This record gives sequence, structure tokens and C-alpha cells, in this order.
Amino acid sequence: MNNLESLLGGFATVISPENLLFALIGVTLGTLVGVLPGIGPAVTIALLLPVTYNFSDPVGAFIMFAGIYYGAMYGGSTTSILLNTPGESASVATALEGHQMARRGKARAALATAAIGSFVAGLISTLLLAFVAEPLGRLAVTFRATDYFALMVLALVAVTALVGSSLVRGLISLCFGILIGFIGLDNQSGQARFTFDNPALFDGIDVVLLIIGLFAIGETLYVMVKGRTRPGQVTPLEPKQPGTFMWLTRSEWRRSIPAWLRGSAFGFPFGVLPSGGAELPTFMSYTYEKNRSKGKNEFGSGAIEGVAGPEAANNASFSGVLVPLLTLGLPTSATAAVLLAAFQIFNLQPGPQFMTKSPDLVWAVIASLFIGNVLLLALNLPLIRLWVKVLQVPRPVLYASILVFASLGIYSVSGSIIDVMIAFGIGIIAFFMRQFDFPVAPAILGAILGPELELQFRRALTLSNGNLGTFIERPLTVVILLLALLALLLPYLPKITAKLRGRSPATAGKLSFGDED
Amino acid sequence: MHELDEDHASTSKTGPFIVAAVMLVAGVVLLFQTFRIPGEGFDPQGPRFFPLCIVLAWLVLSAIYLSTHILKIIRTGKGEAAEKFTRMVPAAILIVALIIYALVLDSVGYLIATALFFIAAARVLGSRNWARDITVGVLLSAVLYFAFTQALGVRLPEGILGI
Amino acid sequence: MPNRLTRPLILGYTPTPQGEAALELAITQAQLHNAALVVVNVSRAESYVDTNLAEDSQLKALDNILQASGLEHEIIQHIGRDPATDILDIANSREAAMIVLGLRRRSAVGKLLLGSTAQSILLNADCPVLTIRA
Repeated sequence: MNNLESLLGGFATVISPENLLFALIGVTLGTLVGVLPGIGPAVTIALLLPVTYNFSDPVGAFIMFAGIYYGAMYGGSTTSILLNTPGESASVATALEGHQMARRGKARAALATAAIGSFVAGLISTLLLAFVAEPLGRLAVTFRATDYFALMVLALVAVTALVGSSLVRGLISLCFGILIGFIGLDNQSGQARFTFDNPALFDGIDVVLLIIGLFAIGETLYVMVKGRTRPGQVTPLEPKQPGTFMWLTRSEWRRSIPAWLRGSAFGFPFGVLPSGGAELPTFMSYTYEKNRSKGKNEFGSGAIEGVAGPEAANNASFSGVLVPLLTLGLPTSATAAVLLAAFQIFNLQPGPQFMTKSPDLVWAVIASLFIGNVLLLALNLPLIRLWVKVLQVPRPVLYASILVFASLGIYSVSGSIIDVMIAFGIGIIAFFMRQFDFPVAPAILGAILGPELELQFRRALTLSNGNLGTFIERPLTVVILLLALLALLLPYLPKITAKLRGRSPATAGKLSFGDED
Repeated sequence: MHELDEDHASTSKTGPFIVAAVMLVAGVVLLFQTFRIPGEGFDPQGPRFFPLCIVLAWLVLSAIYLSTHILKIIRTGKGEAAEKFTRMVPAAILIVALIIYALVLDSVGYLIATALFFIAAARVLGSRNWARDITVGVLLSAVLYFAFTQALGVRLPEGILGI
Repeated sequence: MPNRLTRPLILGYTPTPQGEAALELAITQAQLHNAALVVVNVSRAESYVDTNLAEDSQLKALDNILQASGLEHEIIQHIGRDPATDILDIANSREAAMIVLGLRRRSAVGKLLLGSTAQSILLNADCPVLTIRA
């Protein structure tokens, strides 16, 4: 099959001692940082972007990023299981059952099902990605400007609606991001916009600056002001049981495998859809596993399915996120946005042209996902105790180091002190956003997609000679725009159904998820 | 003397007012900036249309934010979400430290500037162990400096050490 | 001069080998002098995971041991900037008869880099300090 050949070709490109080293570094760094509460994969990748600036070969960089992502996710799960503090928002579900398992002396099983489940899910979803990428790429070429416009509206609206606890604040955040995207010279007319007559702003604000400022610096200031959280102690690992393969007993394997498959089924499609990250599928998987096992009554005291399912969903969604990113150039989560920025550093523009012009690169990217996955499994189970040691580093040292890295990152992007100051300024704004519960993810997506959105809008109008009605001509465009409207209303479904049934809407909250991936 | 986490579901009355005010003022400023973009009218294909839409949306949303805040206060006595502003002085000091770091970077050189910054930042963030901070600060700066300049070829300021 | 028997012993405790050793010693000493025992668990809590701060289950276990010893006792847990100062403050306010500490084995470099609560207490205490190495 042609796809399989291409995939093997991708492996050939990717497997080299150098690239394997990058994958190793990526997984290690990702896990180390992922173990820290509050620092998710998006920030980690952003902080390490400058490291890849002088790479001659984007494959090496990407394989490192894939490693970082998987590592960060696994680090987050480790913290959830052993410490009951989720490493980041997508690990919340794991913390529920995983920590209970640990407390009952089944920490190894929990960690194993998380790692192996992630691997299995990664395998399945990357295969799906491999087979879906090309046909979707061909489909994407038939898209017109109006369709792209509608898709971006859908992505932006869906992420904004699902993330954070208030639609108004999410939209404000989105506008903030788009406004930042406006700064600089307009691509099509060459006019300076929002530059306050300052030539330093003619190039606009680099996305990497934005992300580092928003996430790294903003987060540090926030942690600082929040005060101290009560530290915990790491639940010890029980001694290895005899009769287990890779730390899981036969019955645990039996229970985990179907849960992994179900989790992947949740993760991949929802990764493809603009849902803001890995949280939605993770929670759906958890709820499904919980409802499914009603008879067994083990949920709440450490049911292995409650770890297996969500972890698989988590990992599968990453490959899912890559589908729109690679075929359409459409980022559907903060992490995807960072990856898009990474591609652009190498002068690559993911999208339909990407698949046809550099297929080798795409297959290399997909192959590197497999490799990152394998390395994750190989490394992380045995080295748990090492990762956890990171948590014993005093927080002042941790966060001072993060600030140092962030500053280094910003400086190596631009070499200009002004940019560094701008990034600090953005960090301060991010801090206030956190204080007043304004979600950060819509801002990043707005900044990255805003210019594209405008481009497609104007292109559509140029093609139709200024006829605004062109946006409702193509049925595909209309369908996508309607989906966007639906996405806007979806989080309020609990409230609406409550009102319809006559219950008080105050008790039904808005569906919301965190925005760190 | 316990400095543990405060409850997160907190609200504030004055904070959101200030936020709304800032946003509205910013919106007006941006509106003026939009008009200053060269061009005639607001041709949808031109450079002024989209910014205008977004700035208007921004103003409308800020107004909505303000009114929900006011309504919440009237209805429940509590305002919009806002976390407590504790430890603002150390946070401000940290920001000043960041700014100074950026300013002296070129003149003093990466190595010294970063080491000093690390020590200051760690201290502000709550560290009480000078020996540890100095050691880590110097080591980290050195490692990063040599790794980035030698292995990765990124230019970092040499400053007074001339390394 | 206040009756020695009514002044309590202060124990600087952590759920570690040296802390347990100090606990045993403190109980013996308190029984010997028929004094009350104030167990203080202080930590800077600087990191996400702190092995010096006792968890609820560990505090319960501690309480059980103290009950079994038959001593008049009190457990104080505290998170503060400087454990040495906190312990000394408590010792001063209670007019402690003695402070008991556990010492961890450290290399010379370890002593330099990591600081020493014990050293600070030893040098600044107004009352006798009894230490035991793990």
C-alpha cells in the first residue's frame, strides 16, 4: 500500500543516531518539566524552540518536540498518580483513580497502565494519522478561501467556547490575541497598523515571544503571587509483584487493553476537532469508563480503567491534533499553535501545499512520532524515581530557572532588548489575565490565526469581486459556519436543558476545561 | 504565619471595575489607531476593516464584562472572578529585576547578568539559602552560556568578561 | 527557680530516620524527667514534594506513639521561612527545658551547600540542646 511505503520511507529518513539523540533529549526534558504542576507541554516546547533555531534539519527539531510532548504528558500523569497534584490539566482525570490506586499500593500498576496505554494509543492514532493525512490533504486542496475562513472561525470559536469558565472573557482574550496579531505591516497593503509610529514594531510581535511571555513569565508571576501550596509527599512505589509483565498482572492487562482502545477512540477524533486540547477527550473517556463499570463499583477507590482510558485518550488526541495542523495548517490547541510557530521558524507552512510539496517531511514527522512514543515507554517506567526528584527542587530555584530560560529564549529569537521588554510586558498582562480568570489559550490562537483569518477573508472577497454574499454560497462554508455557531452554544447546553426541564439553571454550570495544552 | 493557598473561587468588587476601565480605555485608543491606518473608508478588502471589527467587538465585550460585573454585585453582592492580590511587592520587585536584567545584559555580558539575576529572582521568590543560589546561579549561567554559544551557535553578549 | 518538671521538652521532628531517632530519644528523656513533650514539625515547604513535612497519616502515627508513651504531649506543625527560628521561638515561649534534634549525616560539601537548621539551633538556643545522629 502506498501509504505504508511512504511511512517506511519516513522511518528511513528519521532513524539516525543524531535524531534518536534528539528524541531522547526531548522525552527527558519533556518529562522533567511535565512533572512540574502548571507547566504543560506547550510552554516546554516554547521554551525550547530557540534551541532549535540553528538546526539545519527540521526533522531533528520536530522529533525533539514530539518527544517533549509525550514526555510532558507522561510527567503530568506521574505527578497525578504519585502526588495527587495533576501535572497539568489533562491529567486531572488520571489523578482521580490513579492516586487512589497508588494509595492502595498499586502505584506501579497505575504508572504502567498510563505509560503502556499512552504507547498503544500513540501507536494506533499515529497509524490513523498516517492513513488519514494524505486523503485529507487531497480533500483540503479543494477548499476555497471561504472554507478556510469558516474553518478558522470554527477553530477559534470552539476553543474559546470550551476553554475557561466565561464566554465573554474567552472572547475578550481572543480579541486581544487577534489585536496583537494586527501589529505590524499589513501583508497585503503594506500599511502599518497599530505600530504607534514606532518602527521597532513594524515586524509585529513574534509568536514565540508571545507564547513565552504569556505562558512562562505569566505563569511564574502567578505562582509567586498565589503563595505556597502545601507540599505533599510522594506515595511510595510498592515492591514489584511476581507474575507481572511490565508491572501489570494478567487481569490488569485484561482490563486495561479494552480501556486503551476505547480511550484512543475518544482521543483521536476529538484531537482532530477543535476542542482546545486533550482535556475534553480525557474527561469523556473517564466519564465513559465510570458509567460503563457501574456494576463493579470500584471507581473512586482505584479502578484501573479510570487510568487506562483517559491516558490513552490523552495521547491519542495529540496525533489527532496533528491532522488539521499538517493538512490544513489549522492549530486546534495551544500546543498545536506552538508547533505551527516551530514549523514557521523553518520556513515551512503546514497546509494542503505542505502535503504535496514536501511529502517526505510529513512522513518523517509521522515516523518521529512513533519513535518518540517508543522512547517514552522505554525510558520512563524504569526512571520514575528520578523524575520525581525534580519535585524536590525548591520552587524558587525552579522558577528562577524558568525565567532564565525564558529570557534566553526571547533574546535568542530577536537579539533585541526591546523585544525582551515587550515579552515581559506581555507576561505581566498574562499575569493579570490569570488573576481575573481570562483564559490564555484563545489569545494565542487569536494571535496566530488572526492574520490568516483576515487573509482568507480578503482573498475570498477579492475572488468574488467584493461580494460579501460569497460566504454563504458554498454549502461547505455554510455548514462549517453553522458548526461554529453550534460550538458557541454547546457549553451552555447544560444550562439550556436545565431551563427546558424547569430546573434552576443556576445549578447547571457551563462546560469548561483548562487551557494549558 | 501560615502562608498556604487561598481558596480559588474568589471574587472581587473593585478589581474587575479597574480591569473593565482599562479595557475600555485601551479600546478607545485602539479605535483611534484604527482610524490612523492609511486608507479611505472601510473597504472590506482593505487594511482597516478587520481591525475595526475586532476593536468594536472588543469595546462591546468590555461593556458586557462591565455590566455583568455590576449585575452580579447587585444580585449577589459579589463581583466577577478575581483572585486575591497577595505578595504584590515581591512580584513587582521581580518585574523590576527582569527589566534590569534586560537592560544590563549587553553591557555586563550574559554570564554575569544571568548569574546575578538568578540569585535575585530566587531570593525574591522566597529562597533563603545564599550558598545554594549562588552556586546554582553561576553554574546554570555558565552551562547555558557555553552550551548555546559553542554547541548551538547562538550569539550571546560577552560584556566585560570577553569570553 | 521554676520547677524543672513543669518545663517541657521540645522535639524538632521530621518523618525521617533522624527524626524517628530523635523522637525515641525525646520520649526517653521526657519520661526520665517526667516532663511534657512538645513535638514540632517545621518545614520551609519550598518544593512541591517535601519529605520533612509530616503527612496526616504520619501525624496520626506520631500521635499514637505519644499516647502509648503516657507523656503529656502536644504536636505542632508549621510551615515557615526558617525552621530554626520557629523552633527557637517555640522553645523560648514555652520556656523549654531542652531541645532534642536529629542530625543527618552530611558530607562537607553538603554542609556548605544545604545549610543547617541544627547548627543554627545549637548556636542560638537558650537551653540545652541534645542531638543524636541517625
